[in-house]
Amino acid sequence: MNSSTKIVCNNVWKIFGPNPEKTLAGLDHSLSRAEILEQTGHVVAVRNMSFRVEEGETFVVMGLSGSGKSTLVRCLSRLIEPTSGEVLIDNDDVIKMDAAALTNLRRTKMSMVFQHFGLFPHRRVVDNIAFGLEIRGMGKKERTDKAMEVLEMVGLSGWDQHFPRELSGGMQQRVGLARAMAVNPEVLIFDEPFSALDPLIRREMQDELLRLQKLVKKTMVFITHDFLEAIKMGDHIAIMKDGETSQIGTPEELVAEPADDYVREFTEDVPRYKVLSVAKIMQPPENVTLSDNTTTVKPDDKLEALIDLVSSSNGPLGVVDDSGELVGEINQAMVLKAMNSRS
Amino acid sequence: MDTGKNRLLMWAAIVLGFFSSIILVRNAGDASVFPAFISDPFQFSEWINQGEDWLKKNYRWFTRMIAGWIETALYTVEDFLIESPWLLILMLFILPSIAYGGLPLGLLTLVGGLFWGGVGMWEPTMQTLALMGMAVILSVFFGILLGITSAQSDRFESILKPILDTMQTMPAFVYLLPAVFFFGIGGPPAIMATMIYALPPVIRLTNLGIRQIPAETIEAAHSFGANRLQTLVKVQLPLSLPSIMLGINQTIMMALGLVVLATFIGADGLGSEVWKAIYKLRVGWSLEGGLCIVFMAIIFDRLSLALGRPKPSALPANTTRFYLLPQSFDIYPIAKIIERPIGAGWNFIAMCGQGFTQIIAVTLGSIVNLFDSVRGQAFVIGIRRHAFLVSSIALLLSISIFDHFFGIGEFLESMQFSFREPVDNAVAWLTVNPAFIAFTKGLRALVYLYFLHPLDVFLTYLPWYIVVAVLSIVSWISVGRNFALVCFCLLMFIGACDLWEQAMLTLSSVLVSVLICFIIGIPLGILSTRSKRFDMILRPVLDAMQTLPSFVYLIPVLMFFGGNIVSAVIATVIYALPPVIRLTALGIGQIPVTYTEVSSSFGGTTSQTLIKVKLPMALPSIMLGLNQAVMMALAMQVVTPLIGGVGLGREVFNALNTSNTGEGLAAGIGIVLLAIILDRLSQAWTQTQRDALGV
Ligand SMILES: Nc1ncnc2c1ncn2[C@@H]1O[C@H](COP(=O)(O)OP(=O)(O)OP(=O)(O)O)[C@@H](O)[C@H]1O
Ligand SMILES: [Mg+2]
Repeated sequence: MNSSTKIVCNNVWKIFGPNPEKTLAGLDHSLSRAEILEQTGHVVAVRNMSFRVEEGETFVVMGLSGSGKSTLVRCLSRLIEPTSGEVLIDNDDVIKMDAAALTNLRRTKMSMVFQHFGLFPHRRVVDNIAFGLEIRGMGKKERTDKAMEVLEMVGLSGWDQHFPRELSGGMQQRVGLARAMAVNPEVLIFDEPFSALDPLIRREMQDELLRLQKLVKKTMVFITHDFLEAIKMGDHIAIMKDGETSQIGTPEELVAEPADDYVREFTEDVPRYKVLSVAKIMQPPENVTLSDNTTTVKPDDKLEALIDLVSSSNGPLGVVDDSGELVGEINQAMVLKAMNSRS
Repeated sequence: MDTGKNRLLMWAAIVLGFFSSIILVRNAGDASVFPAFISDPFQFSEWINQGEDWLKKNYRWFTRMIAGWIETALYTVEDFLIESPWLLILMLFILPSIAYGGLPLGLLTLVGGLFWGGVGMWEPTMQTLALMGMAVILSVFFGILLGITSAQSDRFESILKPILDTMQTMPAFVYLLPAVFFFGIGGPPAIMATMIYALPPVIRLTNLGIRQIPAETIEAAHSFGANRLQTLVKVQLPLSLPSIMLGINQTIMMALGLVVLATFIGADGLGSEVWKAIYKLRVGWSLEGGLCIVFMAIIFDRLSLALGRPKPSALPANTTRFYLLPQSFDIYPIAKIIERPIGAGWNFIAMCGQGFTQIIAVTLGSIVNLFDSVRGQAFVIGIRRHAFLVSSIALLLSISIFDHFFGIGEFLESMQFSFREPVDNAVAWLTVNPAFIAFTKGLRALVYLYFLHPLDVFLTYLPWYIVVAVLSIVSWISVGRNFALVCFCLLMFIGACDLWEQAMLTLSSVLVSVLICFIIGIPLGILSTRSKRFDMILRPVLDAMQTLPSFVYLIPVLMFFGGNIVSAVIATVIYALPPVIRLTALGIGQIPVTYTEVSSSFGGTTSQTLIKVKLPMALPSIMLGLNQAVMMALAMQVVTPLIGGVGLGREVFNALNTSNTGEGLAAGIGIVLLAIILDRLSQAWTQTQRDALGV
């Protein structure tokens, strides 16, 4: 295993119902979720999921309502007990941990931001933020100081003595974010953090989170049902359907090579020029050679950045990688074709 | 209170109060005694007694007349119930029980009836039944009328609502005192008091039932040209029937609770049996009486609930219908085996009934046919549809006829059983058992030495003006300035009536009881949210506890702890415990799972989650439990003197015994005033907690 891999999930299953183990043992794997429900009365919420999350990256789990996203991420810290499978965090098997080790993991390694904020109505903002520290047994003065610090980081200084209900939705989720960051975890888990917010605020919060991510560089697992949000936030995206992975890849891979119709459907609304990069669409160099006056672009440039360049030049452009070597060429027609989602 | 100005006023009042009380104390001497120069000229109870005499002299003919009517009606009902063959009366209850509640309820009624007769309490049971029945009928009649009126007029509703609110915070016995004042003692005042006491639920639920009918439905009725009366009778009342039935259920339960208490004002029945028994310290006897009341409460509760419930829908064809056991048991094969013969027997009886009805229908139908063939046909169909009713009437008739010729007479000697002696013996044995003595002594000492005594001493030795000042200030801070003033006046009134010490004793036993309720109730409430099985056991126990009249709780306490102040506290605790457990469990159960999840996602342990998240969030509900527990504890204060309670309750109790209306009324008012103060305060705290949570 790669030394910088933070989380590994291997063949995780979660089945809800009166007798999950038995159902899993006798499961006919060719059946769909609906058929299993009909025959056994059990809901297969997570079905044989495997993925890995590298340190410092944002891993997005995307899927429609009921596809098992929340269940999956709750299996990571065993807020929900998986029916079978393996979850490794820093090479420690979470499933095998005893209660004390698990509590310790939750207190130090990971914290979570919730869809409907989950702020305690009986605690002031500052005490909400300090909750995780309080649980750890940190003294009042120390934890309040820490909470104030984080509060400032999310841009809410001055609101510490208010109650959550006195804040707007966006501000409440900032508090939720601050509460999760206050314990300085290695992994942050977001369960649809912004889906209860209206579009403008949502965009603002996404940008805020990206800004903070640059600052703190945490490993993040981010859940959403909004594909645009997924490609904006994610380094890698796992698309879930009926508890299973449809595809895992970078945003670009999903857009360029959707594995099935289910994934393709999501990608159709995506402004492809924002996602696709030169490397995905270039051809081997045939018509260009490297000379001083050829305009060149880089393989990981997004198409968005080239639009002006391509439209003003007639001939093909050379693609040159970091070592200065010519690796391909693109032309106007290729760019235009790539931007058509129904290609 | 909002600003510094208010706070300044408050401090001014405190300082002023302090100085004026010092002046008062210098005149009065002992500070814990309410100053005589206030209480001596204020002869409230004398005035009441004079008023009563005056009333007697001038309006006696009027109250006599009303009491006379009620008495006549009561005796008629009582005579019917007592003189009729017991089997007939029993069937009168069993048949509707079966019709509406199925075989289980029928069996319960049968067992209850046999118990009433078996322990030789048939007659007092019938007396209680007659009292309760009369009161309930009157209550339901006036209740539905008032309910309809208030559903028709917003104005009327807004006048009625605060009155009903106040009525429902009053302890039951409070209604007995004015009844005595106007109607003397015996059955009629008991019925009047019970009728008024049990009125609010029918009014409320009739009003609610009518008001929650969708406007469209009413419009539809109007669009067909129905006038107001037609709409009411044909649409509104039928549609609000479930709600009205629920109101009647509550009315019945309240009526039973007060009717057994009405023994204090000389009404006969089970209450008076229990009272006599407790008075003579005959535990076995009182237990028999108490169990009769328990049976009555449970039977009437279930029956009146069943009456309002829609009939169970048809089962799928392939499942066998269960008659005795809950249908959910049909996963167990053993249940099916038990049910098979019952089902067969049931079907056989049903077949007989239908056959019999068929014969009656055809016979009567052919007679009607002679005159009008169309009607005759409809008549036959109509009768056939009511097979159960027809067979029931036939059964009752045949019992009456049988009785007429052969005489069923009294409840059979051979069916009687009495367990007075064994119970008495067991209690006698228990009370000399050293281990048991040690246990009860220990418990008594614990409650007395660590809770009751310190608080008693504290409250009765505390200078009265400090108590007044503290309560007024607390009222000010929790509720507001006006209520602080009210609180002050009410306390002064209690003092002026020369009831200060008694009031403090009552206060301390109420506070101690409620405190113990919380010490026991909150853990139990928490436990029941944690363990499904525990909850399943606890739930029916609480249900049963909440249907029983306060009176019944005295018996087991007397059995095990004898009569003394601590017994009084224990009985109060048992009586007031259910709402504390219920509302704690409810409050915790209502918290969305997200919050628990948040807490565990941060590594919160179970106890951290409980203390830092669940309990604070359940606080409004727990506070409501406090409110209810306090009110119930206060209501219990008039009953506990029977087993050694002291304070205002004992004053009421003694006054009722010696027919001193004035003193009884004064002490009763004292309890009511305490109730008003404590109710308002605990409601205000509940509200504060709600506001703090933003709900
Ligand atoms: N405690 C439970 N008991 C039974 N079924 C459950 C339970 N929790 C979730 N499920 C089922 O598991 C499936 C996946 O639920 P999950 O909440 O993980 O979906 P989700 O992708 O997070 O959906 P959403 O976007 O609505 O939050 C759903 O069909 C749901 O009904
Ligand atoms: Mg979810």
